[in-house]
Amino acid sequence: MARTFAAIRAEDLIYSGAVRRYYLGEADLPTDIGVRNADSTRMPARTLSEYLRGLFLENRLTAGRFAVEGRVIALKDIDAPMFVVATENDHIAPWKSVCKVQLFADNDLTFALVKGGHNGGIVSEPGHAGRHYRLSHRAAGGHQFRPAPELISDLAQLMYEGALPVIPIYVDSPVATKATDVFAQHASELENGATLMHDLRSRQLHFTETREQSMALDQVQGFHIVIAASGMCDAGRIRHRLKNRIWMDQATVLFTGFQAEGTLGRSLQNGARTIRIQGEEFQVRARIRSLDLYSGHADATELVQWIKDRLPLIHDLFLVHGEAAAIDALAARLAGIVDPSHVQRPVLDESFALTAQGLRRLSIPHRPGWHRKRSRGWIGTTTCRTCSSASTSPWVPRRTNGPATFCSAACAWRWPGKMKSHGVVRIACAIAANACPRAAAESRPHLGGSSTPEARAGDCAGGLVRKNHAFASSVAAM
Amino acid sequence: MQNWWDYATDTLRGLEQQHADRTRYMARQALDLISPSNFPVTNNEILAATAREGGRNLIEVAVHLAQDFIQTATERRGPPPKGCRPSKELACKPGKVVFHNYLFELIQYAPSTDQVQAEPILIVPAWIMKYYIPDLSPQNSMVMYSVDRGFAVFMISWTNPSAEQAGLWLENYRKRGGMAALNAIAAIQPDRLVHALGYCLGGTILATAAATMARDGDERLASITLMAAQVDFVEAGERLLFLDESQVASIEDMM
Repeated sequence: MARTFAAIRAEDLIYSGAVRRYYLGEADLPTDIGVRNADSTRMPARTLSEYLRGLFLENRLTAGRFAVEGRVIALKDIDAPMFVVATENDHIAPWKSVCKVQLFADNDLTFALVKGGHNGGIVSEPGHAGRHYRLSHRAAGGHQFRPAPELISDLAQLMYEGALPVIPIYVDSPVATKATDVFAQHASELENGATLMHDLRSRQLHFTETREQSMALDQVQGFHIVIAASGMCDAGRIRHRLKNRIWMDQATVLFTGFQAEGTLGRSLQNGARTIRIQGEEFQVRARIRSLDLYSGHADATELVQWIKDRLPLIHDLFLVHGEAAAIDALAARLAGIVDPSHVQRPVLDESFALTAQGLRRLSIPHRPGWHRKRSRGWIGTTTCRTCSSASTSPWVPRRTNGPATFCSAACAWRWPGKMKSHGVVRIACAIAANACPRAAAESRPHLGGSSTPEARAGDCAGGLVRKNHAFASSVAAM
Repeated sequence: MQNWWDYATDTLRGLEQQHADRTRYMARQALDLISPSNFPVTNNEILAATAREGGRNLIEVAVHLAQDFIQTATERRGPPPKGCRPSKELACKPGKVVFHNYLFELIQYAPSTDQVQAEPILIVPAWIMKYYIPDLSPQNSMVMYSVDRGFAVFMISWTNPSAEQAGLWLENYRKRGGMAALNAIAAIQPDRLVHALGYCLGGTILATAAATMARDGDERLASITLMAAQVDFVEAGERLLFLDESQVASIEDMM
């Protein structure tokens, strides 16, 4: 029996060992598990045949045909709480099979999926280096859970098991199609790669590559699933699919990823009744649902751990992904681990040269006006071009073509570089300085130069006077 | 390469799922066998070792080959290597046999704390391997962990059945095994609930025992832990590939 099991994972369990022993002449290193695995016992003939025929072939225990003392037993009768452990690479009792006990019992059940194989996974204790585990819990009488890694793979599995009707799945995203190809090329390096590949080649799965194929999806009738990549519904093919289905009662929009504040996806999640897509207004009649099992992103704890594993940090750490509040929170968590002056939070369009000596900030490249206007509302923390202080509410001059981030109007005016409408900026600067010179100055001690707020405001206005007398008098009148 | 074969053996229209799975499995076995790392002239590591040791590793190889051939042919195992001897370095938590019948011995581990928890633990291992996986080495012994936290731990050590015991069936393992162990514990520590833990096949038999107890109104189990144990066998992995009526019949005939 032990040999039957070894054959299933031949490469790992037979050949690599045989090569070491028979070609390299190395003696097997004794391990506790190895010795125990060699220490097998016999199985009585009648038990084996009952086990193979009754349990494996006929699956009697869960089919309600396993009798003890003449009467059928049911796992559903069990009231005692259960703790079920399965291991990820188990070739004898695959975890998906072990997990199914929850379908046949109604008791309080905790399921632990641990790293490792049939023996190794069970033997290593929690916290063992290089090992991990996942837990899920179901209260007595509660709903079933299905811990699972991949959406497409799960849908294919559910169809295979009969839990879902067999319906076409369309993957409507060039990126997802490419990602699937990459998966396919490297499936052998993944845990459960073979299962994943098997599911990805389901006959129900279709990939749309060209624009025409994608548009043809709008003509598909009947129950089907479209998986469209979405830039949180603000970009990509999802917008076309939404335009076509969002007003239908029968449709369901299922979000499987995070939807950032201010995106169409977030408004839908928040229950918007009407939405605008590409200038057209639509009633939302489809059901909106969210599922956050499938996020591929690590959470803050995992990110901090990931960074810790890579210490010491030689130069800088860039935090680039996420909402401003989330980036700030992560930076705060990192305060004790990484020197805060080495934590960079770049703004849109900012560029850096990474050199052996450290990073060098490059000038922000010119971008078309709409791009900057769009960014105006949601730049998180920016660094002032003039005084290099950080500001969460940047002052962005209008109608300029130059770099666009300053902490205040005053700084914008002091910027020595060229701007197309420098004059307008200077007026605005003077207005800002005049409107509330004390507040402006006290909250920005970095201005330097003049010592009192009044003097600084005067500085500002003085510059203006030097530039343009007419403007100066109008500002003074204000 | 393996992906190519997986693909080649899987996407044929009209191919039955089981046949596709079998073909894929056989293709993978064949690929594993002819993997370049398995041959001396295509494995750099072997070439380097042979050059470095002037061929001395090949003598070792011959010795290993002879040893293993004799062991397999005679079905006799050598003594376990030093550092991994059962009851010396492995399975070394002291305990004593408190009950035995023709099917198993019940081991009770010696307590290491002054106070003992009210509810004992019963471990039901699989009977195709020796019992000591939950008490492997001191650093990964679940038995030792539980005993050090004040639990009374009982372990079933199944007998290695002889030819006369070929007629034993699953019901024996449930009634004369699991249930007998529970009764023995009840005799030693009366009126206590028991935490039962089953590993692999032991978990399957524990699940049947628990369902029978629930049916009969026997409420002695405080909790049930199943480790790598299946109760449903529809997706029982690649072992199922070659298991069909004809296979089982031929195995039965051999026995």
